[in-house]
Amino acid sequence: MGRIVFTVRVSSRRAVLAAAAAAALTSLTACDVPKRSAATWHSAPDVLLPLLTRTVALRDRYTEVLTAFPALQDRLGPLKDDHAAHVVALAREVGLDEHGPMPTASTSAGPVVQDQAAAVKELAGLEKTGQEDATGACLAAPSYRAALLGSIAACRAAHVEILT
Amino acid sequence: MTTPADERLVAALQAEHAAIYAYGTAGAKLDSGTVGLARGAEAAHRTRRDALIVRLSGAGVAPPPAAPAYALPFPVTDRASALKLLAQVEDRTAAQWRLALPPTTGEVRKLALDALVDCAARSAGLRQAAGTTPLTSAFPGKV
Repeated sequence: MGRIVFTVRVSSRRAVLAAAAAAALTSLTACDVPKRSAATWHSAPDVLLPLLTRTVALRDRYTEVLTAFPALQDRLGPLKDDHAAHVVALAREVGLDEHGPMPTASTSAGPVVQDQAAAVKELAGLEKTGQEDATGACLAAPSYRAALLGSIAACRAAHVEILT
Repeated sequence: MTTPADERLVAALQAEHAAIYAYGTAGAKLDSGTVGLARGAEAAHRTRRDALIVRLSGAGVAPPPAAPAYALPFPVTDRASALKLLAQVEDRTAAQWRLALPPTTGEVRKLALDALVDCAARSAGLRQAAGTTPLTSAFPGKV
């Protein structure tokens, strides 16, 4: 038994990248409008704005829970960082300045519950809803956005896994 | 003619074959606390492999068979190395499924997305069982 995996892996990764690049090129030419141009040509709000708003809300809920329960930092801090990364990626995707003001939800999630376990459980529920949210967005997305949205859905699923 | 989507699904099938092999190999080193996790994961990979074989065959694409054996990136000697291997396998499989998202639509994209989501969740569960950090990455499957 030789080192089959690595030999195969290297060549297949190269093929994969080439195939992905070719696919991206084909689909761009065929049907997708590049994002920058889309922002210029259309005044309609980007379809991802609501998802961005809800992602900001999810990140901010983690901040609120961590403020109430600083002892959860080791457990929840990295998850919050994942959401912050999603906010940046989605803001870039819709053409917003990632350092500028972000869209915020019109309704507040309310005060954090007094019980730590209940607060974590609430976050797990929000992650599950968020996973479904990103899943729907990925399935409806043009090809150039599918990988980003798929990863966001997958990340939220991973959060559900470790919070429950 | 093989489409870009078919090519991505072929690569995903190869990753699933390797994942099934890895679970078969590493499973023997797990303890009672993690063997159930691994059994469920292996069954999920087999289900996905079978769905891919059906889909590729239906599209007139010959599904590649599994290799007789796969070399492991490091020796699997105990529970810790077994969990480490399986988490890496999930990450690599996630990467293949992620690449299948752009060229697909509809139910095929859903197949790829469900697989990516499951790989990411299992990877986090395996890291949690192993006690390694970070448990998650912001963009699973992105390499």
